[in-house]
Amino acid sequence: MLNRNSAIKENYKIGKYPFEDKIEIVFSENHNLVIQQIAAWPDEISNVEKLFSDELGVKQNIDFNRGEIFKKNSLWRMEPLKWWLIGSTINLPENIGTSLELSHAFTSIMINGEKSEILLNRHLPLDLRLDNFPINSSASSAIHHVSVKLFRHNKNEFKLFIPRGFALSIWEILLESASQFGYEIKDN
Amino acid sequence: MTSVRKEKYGKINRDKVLGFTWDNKEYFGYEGDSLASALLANNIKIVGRSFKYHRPRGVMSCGVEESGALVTIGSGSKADPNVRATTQELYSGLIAKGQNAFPNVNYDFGGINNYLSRFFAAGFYYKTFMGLPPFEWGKGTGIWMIFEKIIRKAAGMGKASREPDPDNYEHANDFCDLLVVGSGPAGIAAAQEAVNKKLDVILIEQDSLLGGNNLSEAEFDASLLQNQLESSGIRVMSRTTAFGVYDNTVVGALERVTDHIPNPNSKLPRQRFWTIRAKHIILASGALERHVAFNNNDIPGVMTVNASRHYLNRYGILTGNNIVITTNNDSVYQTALELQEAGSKVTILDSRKNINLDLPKEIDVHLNTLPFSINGRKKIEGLDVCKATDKNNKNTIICDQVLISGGWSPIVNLVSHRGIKPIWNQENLCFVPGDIKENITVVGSAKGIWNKNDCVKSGLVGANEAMNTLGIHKKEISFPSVGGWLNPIDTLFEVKSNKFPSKSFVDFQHDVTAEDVRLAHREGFISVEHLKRYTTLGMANDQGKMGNIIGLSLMAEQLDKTIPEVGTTVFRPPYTPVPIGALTGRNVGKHFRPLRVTPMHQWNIDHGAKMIEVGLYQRPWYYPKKNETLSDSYIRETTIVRKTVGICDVTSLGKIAIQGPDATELVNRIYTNPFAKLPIGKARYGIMLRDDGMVMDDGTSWRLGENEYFMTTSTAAAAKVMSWLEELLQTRWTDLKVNVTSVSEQWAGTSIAGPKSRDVLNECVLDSNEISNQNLPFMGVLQTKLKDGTPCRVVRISFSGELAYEMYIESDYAHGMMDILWESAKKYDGCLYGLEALGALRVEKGHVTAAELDGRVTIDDAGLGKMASTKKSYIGSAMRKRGVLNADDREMLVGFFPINEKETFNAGTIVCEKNNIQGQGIGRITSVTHSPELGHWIGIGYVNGGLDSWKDVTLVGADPVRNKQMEIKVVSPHMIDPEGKRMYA
Repeated sequence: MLNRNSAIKENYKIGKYPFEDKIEIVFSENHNLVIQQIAAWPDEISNVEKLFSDELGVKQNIDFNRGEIFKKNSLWRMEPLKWWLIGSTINLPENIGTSLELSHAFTSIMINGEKSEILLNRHLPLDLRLDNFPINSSASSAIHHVSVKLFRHNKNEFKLFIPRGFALSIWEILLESASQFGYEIKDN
Repeated sequence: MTSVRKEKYGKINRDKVLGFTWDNKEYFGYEGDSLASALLANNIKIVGRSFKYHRPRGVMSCGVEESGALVTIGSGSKADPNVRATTQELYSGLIAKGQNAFPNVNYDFGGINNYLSRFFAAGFYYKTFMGLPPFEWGKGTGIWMIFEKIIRKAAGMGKASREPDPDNYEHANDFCDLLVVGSGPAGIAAAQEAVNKKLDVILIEQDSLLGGNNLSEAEFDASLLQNQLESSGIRVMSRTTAFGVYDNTVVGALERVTDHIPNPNSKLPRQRFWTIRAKHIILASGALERHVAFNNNDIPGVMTVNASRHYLNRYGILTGNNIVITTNNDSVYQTALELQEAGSKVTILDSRKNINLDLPKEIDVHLNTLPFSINGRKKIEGLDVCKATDKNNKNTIICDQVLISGGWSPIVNLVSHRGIKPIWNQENLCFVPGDIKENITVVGSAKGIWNKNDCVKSGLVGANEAMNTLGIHKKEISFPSVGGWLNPIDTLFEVKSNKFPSKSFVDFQHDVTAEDVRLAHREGFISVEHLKRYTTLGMANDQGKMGNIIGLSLMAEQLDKTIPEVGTTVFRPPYTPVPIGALTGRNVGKHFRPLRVTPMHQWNIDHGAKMIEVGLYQRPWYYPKKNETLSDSYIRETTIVRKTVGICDVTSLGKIAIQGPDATELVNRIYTNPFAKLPIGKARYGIMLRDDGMVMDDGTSWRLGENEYFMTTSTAAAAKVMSWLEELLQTRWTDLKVNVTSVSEQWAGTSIAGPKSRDVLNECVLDSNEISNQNLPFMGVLQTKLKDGTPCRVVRISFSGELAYEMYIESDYAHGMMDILWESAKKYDGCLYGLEALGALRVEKGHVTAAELDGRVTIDDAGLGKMASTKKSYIGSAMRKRGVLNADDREMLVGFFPINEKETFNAGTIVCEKNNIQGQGIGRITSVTHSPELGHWIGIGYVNGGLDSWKDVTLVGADPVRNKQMEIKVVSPHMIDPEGKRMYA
């Protein structure tokens, strides 16, 4: 098998880039991203949810724009009838919906740190205040006209999914903006 | 005017001395100074020249309404013109210059305009447009072209740098429950009340210090206030101007991040453009003190009264020795007292006959007295005054400063942005905000409340109104009444002069005089909007903050109407100027547009590709060898593909996964040709039409499984087709069980074209005999593995007319795939080819792209009518049968050759009959190339009636844009291998 090649490899320079001796943002890319898109037929939602419960241990059905994070994977309801399973895959019976591999379609960047919310709001018109966008929330929005998905893993920890072809351009804009806070790029 | 720095006054930091340059001379100020206060402290009287007459102007206010001290900050690429010195914070090393003057603002040759002012009255531009009488009467604007350059040079403000802006800017978003604009007494009260009730509050203040009008008071401590507010949880944004209020309580704001820092860190943006979405907005934007129009009311030394107090108590500057205050209201008396205590001789002229106030005995107060005319040219030498009831008898008061208060105007600009008309309050002679139906509350002096305690109370009430509207509680609320002075204000907008032309200014920035307003009336421009445009009143960068009310009052007088009957102009965003750089944010340079690259982008560059933008995509254009031009390169690449093999990145094609039990039904409904019986493992070329029967796009669909298709679209129509499928499934065919998902980013694609392509592929896949004519016939699909085991998809398909394949692989593996393919292709003397060669190959073969399928053609026009099924219904199948779409003389796809094979033509060339070269001709050439195969220039395009109508007829290709004509002939669009022997090999 060939090795996977990151879309942002050309400008993914691991290291620390402080601003006035401070680092308030930490970036890391998931180099081995696995995304399985699971789409349910409208009359099969309950069966798909049962599958999630059986296969992943989902305790409570996940609302639209919410997710649940497990030890090795996470499940996010991206649309009323569509979920993203991140980190692993499951078998989906054809009669209840469709499964699609999207692991190479996106570049996933973890954004951590005190200023992560502020950095994201430099670009995203999303109300990311914790009350409004609590942990395990997801949203679809746009950075510089490019459609992106955002997941909140923790108070100061977000995952941004950028369409692969635009990833390098958006990554460079993020680094530009982050330079005023000081940032670190970590290996993953 | 002799202004001096006073000990023990002001909120400046005298321990920190700041050097700055004004008109190439060095001066000093203190930390906390504005540029205006530093200039005043250095007793610099003339800081600008007026727009039209080049009259000397001094500092006239202390805020954003400033009309005199407009200066240029910085130099070279950092030169920033028309900056209000009153709002520019002083920093060490600041470079400031006067503008609109030669050689400088003290001695300006342009000052001669002042003596020619009778020729520059309102509307003189428009009159000049009519031509110079009597020579150009009726001849229009000829001579204007000469005058324009002179006028533009002589009139105006500062000059913008012609160099690229070196600074960074950025956009930002924020959200809150309550946004308070303004940190004066009312704004502070509102913010504190709301944060006490646990609301998330943002407080915006345009100044560097919080406090608003409190900053004019001696005892006020701004830093203490800032600490109190921040510790209570209020998010304070100072140096930030709310410049506009938009739908759904969205506020646009500009933060000046580094404009006050000498050598800012380049990582910081200079300015930040905020979009703030609040649940409720409280506007505590304050009020502006007005001038009064009288002769020479613009001589350096004229200032609003409250500005003088502000300079004294904030900056420790006494702005005059011998000050005359002229007023029609109560607001000036505290200032007078403080100026007198600070050491000035103060005289008050009050236009009112009687007032009920405890007048300070140390101050001369003249009731029923008006300012008539200021004496002096570059500085005030005296003021002619008269009784309000007798303007013929004048006395002269020797003074060095005239402070004016003609009343106060609430800042209704922001609420006006919402289309809410202000209401005239006759009692207080000002416009106050009208009835607001949105989640916006106006408090304090912005509401016309003058008394400080009432302002605080209005802030508290405003916060409670916000909480009522947000459903936090329901409280009875009652705002304090508008007004608050002990004595009524007197109507005083102008003291008429008997001089002509009058130099009684209404709008200082644009040199609009009271006489200009009357002239506009005489010439019929009586609507307030016409008045504005004819005189340019209120059209400078202060947008009428100083002059609008006076102008309206003068027009009302002329029309014998009241001010509300005349109306007011609509204030539009921005409240203060917003630099274009801030509007642009980070969308500049390489990030002007989002950049889209294929997964092989770097591989292509590393292998010598010259790239070209195709939409947002960067695609390889050509791969030049040493010293090769574009033409050399693409001709070589095209030749090699036809001879051996070439590899081309085709990832930009749109790719859509179609899944579900009704996938076949969907595909069959959208393409014109039948797909119902397409076997698994086969692909088919298809055309899809719009509802109106015109061609939307072409592409292929591969059947990967019983219920799964992989659709490719053209690069140009990828998004359009994806949206179209979603729309059909969500609105028309909701019963179909199909999911469509864009997988354009998931898959990287490459074309392997040429007689040796099969050999190349067999070297690259796991089973070296797998790619055979039998295993993979034309339009066959194979899901296989590269020789290292990486899965890939191969389809036998040809855009070049040669034996050709496309290989698709998951994007992260694209570099590896290219390495493997290229290694093999090199053995066959193959090449990498770019978009230019791709175009040449397809034009030779007569294949269409977006250049031909441009939305104006039918499937028959494009020569693909045989692909339109007569046995099934599909999108566009009914409308394509309209008579007009089937007329015999419709244009049809053809090929074009030059008669003289040495000649070339361009895409866009109009095809005409030899003796009728005009208009749209009889056709058009859409794509052109040099054909290495044929050895001359070729093109494809459309001609009315098609090949049959023009066979063997010499036509003309007309290219009026390039002033070019050549003889051409019409040929079949399929210029090489029309039988397809190579393709099916």
